[in-house]
Amino acid sequence: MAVLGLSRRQRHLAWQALLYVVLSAASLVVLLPYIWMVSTSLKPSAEVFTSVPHFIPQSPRWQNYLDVLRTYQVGQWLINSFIVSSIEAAGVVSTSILAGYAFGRLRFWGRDAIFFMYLGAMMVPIQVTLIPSFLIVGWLGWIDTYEGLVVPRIVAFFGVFLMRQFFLNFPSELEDAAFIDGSSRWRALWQIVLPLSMPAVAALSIFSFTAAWNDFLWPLVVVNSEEMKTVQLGLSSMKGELSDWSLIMAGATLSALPLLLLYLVLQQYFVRGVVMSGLKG
Amino acid sequence: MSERSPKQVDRRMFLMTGSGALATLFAAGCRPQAPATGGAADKVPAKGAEQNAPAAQSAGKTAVLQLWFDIPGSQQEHIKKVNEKFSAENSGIEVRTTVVPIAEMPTKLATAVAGGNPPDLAYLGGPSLASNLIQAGKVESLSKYQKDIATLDWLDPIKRLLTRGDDFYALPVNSGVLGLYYNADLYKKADLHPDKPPATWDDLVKNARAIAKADQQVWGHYIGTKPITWSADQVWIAYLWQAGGEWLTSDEKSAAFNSEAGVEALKFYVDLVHEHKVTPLKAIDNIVSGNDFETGKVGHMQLYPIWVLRAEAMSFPVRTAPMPQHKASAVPLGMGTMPIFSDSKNKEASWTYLSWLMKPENAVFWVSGLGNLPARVSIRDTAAWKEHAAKHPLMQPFLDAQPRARIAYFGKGAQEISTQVGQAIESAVFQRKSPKQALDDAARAADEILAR
Repeated sequence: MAVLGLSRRQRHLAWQALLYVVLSAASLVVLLPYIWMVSTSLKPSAEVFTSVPHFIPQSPRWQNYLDVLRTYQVGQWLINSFIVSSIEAAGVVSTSILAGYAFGRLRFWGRDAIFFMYLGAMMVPIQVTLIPSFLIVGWLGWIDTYEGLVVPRIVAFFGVFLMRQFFLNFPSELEDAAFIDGSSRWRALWQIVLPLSMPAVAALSIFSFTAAWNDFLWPLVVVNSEEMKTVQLGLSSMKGELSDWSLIMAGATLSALPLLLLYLVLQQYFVRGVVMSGLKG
Repeated sequence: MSERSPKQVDRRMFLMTGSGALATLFAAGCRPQAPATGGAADKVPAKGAEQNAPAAQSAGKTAVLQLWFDIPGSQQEHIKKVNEKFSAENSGIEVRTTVVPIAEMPTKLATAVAGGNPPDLAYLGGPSLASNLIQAGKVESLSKYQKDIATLDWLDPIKRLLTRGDDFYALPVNSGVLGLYYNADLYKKADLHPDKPPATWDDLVKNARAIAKADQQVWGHYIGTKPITWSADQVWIAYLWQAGGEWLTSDEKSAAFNSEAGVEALKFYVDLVHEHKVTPLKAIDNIVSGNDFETGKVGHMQLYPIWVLRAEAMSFPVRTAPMPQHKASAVPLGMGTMPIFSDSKNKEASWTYLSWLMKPENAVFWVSGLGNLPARVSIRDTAAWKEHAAKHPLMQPFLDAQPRARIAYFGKGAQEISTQVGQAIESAVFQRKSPKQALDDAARAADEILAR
């Protein structure tokens, strides 16, 4: 049936064009704060708050990036965040694979009860466990150290849940074939299951790294010195009544770059992982 | 180039990632320790760089004091200079400042105090935190170190805040008063005399109307409309007091801000936006206020003297004045105080620092870089302050207003009540409720908070 006298192909093209317009508009809405961030990071301070806002700096000031690195310890904060996020993500992935495999593939007494306890723990907000965790970390002498930042966070219930969901759908025939060939459980996990689980592992790695990179509350309570601040904590402490917003935005842009790179490198795994594990970020 | 199956790539990638993570973990484990600066690190002898000051000094070691401060940028840099001056005059004691985001200071302090790992010293802006810590018994009485400290000439409201019986619990290091900043260029363009700031609410409206050109986004006056505590207990409370109202009843058991005076003060806000059209209809806080003012398109705004140093650097001439008056003339008093925490490992060294800050020349040095006013009356008569004030004439109107300054309510549920009032302000300004209805609703919520 012809609609508005258009052929089927023309209708298809029109629909595609409309779709692209809507998606482009939606992308612009999502990207707008980031564009503004980068734009502001290149403005001289006097240009940040003008009565008529403009996106393109009239005289781009790359010096802001040098200034923010010189004035604040942004370089050190980025290094701290990288160390903390890398170890935390590696820890979360390791513990989640092992626990997720156990919950998804093994049969043992109390398995489901323990898993439901895990699920319950997911519902407890960090604020509830903040002071007990702080006390334990303090007792261990880990206040203001990398250990204090990382160790309490290397088990993530969400990661266990994600990997369990993935392993539940893993074809058992592949494992069974390995067992028939004399493989141990550990070897089957390491050589059969894990290589085929890379999309989920990549997705979890990105989730964990991003969560650690953006974490604010735990670093806030456990870090007591400028040298140990993570980048989010550092950026937040740059904000004040009299702050130079172009420097803050330069710092924010620098802090966003590692996540952007990580996502670009692992993009294909990330998308497949999210689809295969049935979870959205 | 040889082809690899996806499985081979995956495995290699996993191994590489794992190796990288392990290498990072190893590197982190082998890293040099961050300087231990208080807290639980002190409980571990191997890491404890800090010792009690006299012991440390006698052993030739440096006692490291940890000071939490909540203002970044040039103020933070200034505090570093203060600390360097202190260390130069007091060998064996080093003060390290960590900037804690201002909005997060209560959370961080509450966790640290509850966990028994507070800093040695913290700079506390406003009355609530100091009052709560004193009430909870978490800070040292400074009267133990200097008997007559409570009798010194601190500003009266601050003295009352920090005194319990004969004990005085924190060092007031600076003060501030809400005052008016105005754009002298816009005054001239509107045929107003730049040396004649508004003295009353009526003057304020008249001048603001002369300046405002809504079609050109030029505004006459900014108020606090964002639903946060700042809008309520640091700005609107001035209008409430000036209208003859009070925040709470005299026994502090129920809200009083919904009185006729309160309604008049809030209606004044609503009229500025909707009737006189001299204020934009948007969420305004201290940062928005200052930033918009800096564009040169705002006639007046009210803020504390910490903005003086920034105002001096603006591209147009800025003047300051005491807040316009109405039926009364009270204005809110701001302050910065510094207690020694009961669980501090360096109490003696902390007191050495505070007593050094009490010396007039050091007290002036502290406030000079922060853009604040002294907390002691006699400081304003010192040569150091006079020299500083001569360089920064915009400070004077704030100093002149100090005798009329009062502290906003800081007792039980103060923050929650202020938030309720902030929300009432927003509701009225955005015309979701009438001023009376908005304040009555907030008062009911405040009464419940006070009755807990």
